[in-house]
Amino acid sequence: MESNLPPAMQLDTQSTAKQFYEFLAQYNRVSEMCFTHCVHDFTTRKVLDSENTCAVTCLEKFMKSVNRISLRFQEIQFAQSGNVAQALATAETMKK
Amino acid sequence: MAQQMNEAQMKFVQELEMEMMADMFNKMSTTCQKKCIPPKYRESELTKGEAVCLDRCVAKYLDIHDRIGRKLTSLSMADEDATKKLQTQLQK
Repeated sequence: MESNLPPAMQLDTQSTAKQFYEFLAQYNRVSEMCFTHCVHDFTTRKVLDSENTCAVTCLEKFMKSVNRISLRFQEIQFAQSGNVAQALATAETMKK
Repeated sequence: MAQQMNEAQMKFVQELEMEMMADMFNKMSTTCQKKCIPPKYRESELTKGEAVCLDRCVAKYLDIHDRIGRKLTSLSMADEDATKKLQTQLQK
């Protein structure tokens, strides 16, 4: 399946491993952040429904904000490297 | 050959898991200390309240960590499906 893709799109083991590492690091960061912001009741060991909802919402919001940030980052990078057309194309295709 | 790959992969995954576990532990420690131990430091022994709070904090942190992990996995799988569909469309 990999050989059907052009060489530029094939992921080598190194970058996949690095991506996976970053994914797990981000997972830990989100856990810490959402726990800190959502869990305040230490009269019990149980996670309250409100805390659960808050944590899941926190995760979803975090993912969406990361997506938006990387999108804007890409736009600005492209614009800075002088490639205005590419920046416009990115903005067009990904605006939802 | 394939088996060697799997062994190397397994070793990598195990090491990665260890490192991530250590990282999670550090974050959990810092977070629970912030949540449960007021920065007064009049005496070095933990009060009963602080000790109980730490117990509950650890239990809750691990629970939330699991829930977030499960949600993240389901979001990733959904994302992966969408990417695969896009790839098959591009290949046509």
